[in-house]
Amino acid sequence: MDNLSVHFPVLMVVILIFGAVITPIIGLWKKTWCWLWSISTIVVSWLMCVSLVSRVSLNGPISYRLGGRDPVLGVEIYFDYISIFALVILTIGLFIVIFSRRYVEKHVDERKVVPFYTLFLLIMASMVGFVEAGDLFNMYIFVEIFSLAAYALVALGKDRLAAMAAFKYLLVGGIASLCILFGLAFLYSLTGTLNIQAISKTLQILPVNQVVNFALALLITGFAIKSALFPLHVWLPDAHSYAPAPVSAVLSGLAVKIGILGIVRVMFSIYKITGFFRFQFFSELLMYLGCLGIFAGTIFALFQNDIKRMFAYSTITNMGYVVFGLCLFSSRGVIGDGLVGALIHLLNHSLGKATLFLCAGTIFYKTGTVKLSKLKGIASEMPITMWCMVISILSILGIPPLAGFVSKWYIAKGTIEAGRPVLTFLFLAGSIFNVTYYYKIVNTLFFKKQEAATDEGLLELDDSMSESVVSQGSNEVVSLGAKRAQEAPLTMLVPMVVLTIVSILAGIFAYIPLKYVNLAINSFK
Amino acid sequence: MIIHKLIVNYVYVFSAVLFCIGLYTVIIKTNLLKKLLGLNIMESAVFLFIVSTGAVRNSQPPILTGTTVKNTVFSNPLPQTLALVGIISALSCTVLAVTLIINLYERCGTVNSDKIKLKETEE
Repeated sequence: MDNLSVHFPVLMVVILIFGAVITPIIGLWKKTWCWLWSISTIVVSWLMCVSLVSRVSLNGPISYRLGGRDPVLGVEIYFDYISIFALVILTIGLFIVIFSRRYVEKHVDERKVVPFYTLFLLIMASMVGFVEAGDLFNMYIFVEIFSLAAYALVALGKDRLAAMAAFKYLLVGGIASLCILFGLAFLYSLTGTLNIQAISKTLQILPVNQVVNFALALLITGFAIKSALFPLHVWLPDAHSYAPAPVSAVLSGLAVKIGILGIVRVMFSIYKITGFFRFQFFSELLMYLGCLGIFAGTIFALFQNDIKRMFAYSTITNMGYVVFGLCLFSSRGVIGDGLVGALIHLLNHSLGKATLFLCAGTIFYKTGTVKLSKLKGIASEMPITMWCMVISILSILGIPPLAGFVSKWYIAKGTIEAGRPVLTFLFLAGSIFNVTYYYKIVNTLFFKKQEAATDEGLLELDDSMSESVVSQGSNEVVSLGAKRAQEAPLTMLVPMVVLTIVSILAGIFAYIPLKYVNLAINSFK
Repeated sequence: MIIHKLIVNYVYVFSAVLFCIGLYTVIIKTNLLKKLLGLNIMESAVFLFIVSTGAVRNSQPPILTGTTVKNTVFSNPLPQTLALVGIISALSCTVLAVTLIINLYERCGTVNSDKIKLKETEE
């Protein structure tokens, strides 16, 4: 057992990829078992991850040499403090898989059920592989696998334009991947190695020249597209709203964070904090883009009628917060609590946004629509779902006992530490501005009266949706007419409730994630 | 002086120009297939650049044979491997994109992004 645990960093990924490859074979035999198989694979990987995290917090980063070769020549897997995000990925992914069973049965074509689980395991594997990749090229490969799986998952949506959303995502994501590849090729031609630590050591010695700048610009652009930073966010709203709900939850809760973690790796593991400050122009630019993103996301979200689209724009806002916090250097290049806040916000936003998309999925499952105007007063029929939603919304808005408060507090503190009161004002104003559209959601779902016309409205859905409602048999339609919805089945409720509880606990016991974040930041210096 | 620099580093210039041509095609063309071709041009630009970083002047291909003399200068094989892996991922990306285009054509009856956008707004 001791011997095996040495190989956990690679086994964690291999098991998920193996699971993905086996899933179609199981699907040939019995389709319903794919669900159980995916859950068990993720659980095994999760257990390995827990063991690794406990080891890392005791003994520091683990370096695993693939094939026993020297890291600079061979492939290195480096499980450091940032890689602890793998635990978040696997935990949230596990709950999303549990959720997806009933949803996929109803809202995904029957012959696409098996591909769904295959791609889901693949996207989990690539995300986990990404956060613990020790060299740039491995990072690129995992980004590529993850993007391919994500495009295909978006295309699984039943909506007619899901394929267009996926194609848009593919084009933009393809450009992003190529930017990353171009950037790493520049770094390779400069330093002669792909290993992150070796590159970082070489770059410390090298004088700043145009190639270093150019490589940085390309890498950051690539990852910024993947993380939907404000002017590069065009793919996100469509992809998130046309994809099936579990996929939106993965995309918004986890996939977008991969881009941010890429930026973190490039900025702080390769260029280091002191080194990155040499490129002050980049950090300032990114910070202002983040700040713009906070407002732009909110303004776009205000004019939407589709809950999923609102949440998608909210993701742009929150990525704005994260990038804003990441680049809060003071004028002397000292980075303070802004970075702490940004890294914790990754966790808090993952929990909150995954729950929100699962709630939207539950609503869609029960009523067949996510249009706000057709969902007035739904809270009285689905109380548990709605309470999960409200608590997650409050968490993302940053109300004190919940998780989001901690991260926003630290980012706000970071703006003051950086000596920029104007930014503090903008940040707080953006936070308050956020309340507007969430207020609209909560107000409509909880306090507006159901209109008699809503039942009629339900039948006026576009073709694909009404098909899915009718295909459920006559009793569903009758129940829609008489009483629009009841509470969701247990496999959908449990993940939402558990994720909500975790997001409350992450607020109360915030010192635990803070401990790891501080360890990570110390390792950047 | 600048022109001299550009001529010496012609690989950088060439791949950057090709990359921009691809980007232009992706952004400007409305036909989805042409957009995809633009993406492929960008891919070629990047792969050309990667392979060129492995070139060593007066070098042999990095293959060991029985007749290899000691102290032979080999070109760097690693960039070629990187380009190969990149080509594989680019190929799978292209395949997926073509599948999506066929799917869109079946559902919407057109591969023109403007017309598809019109249908989108109709809904």
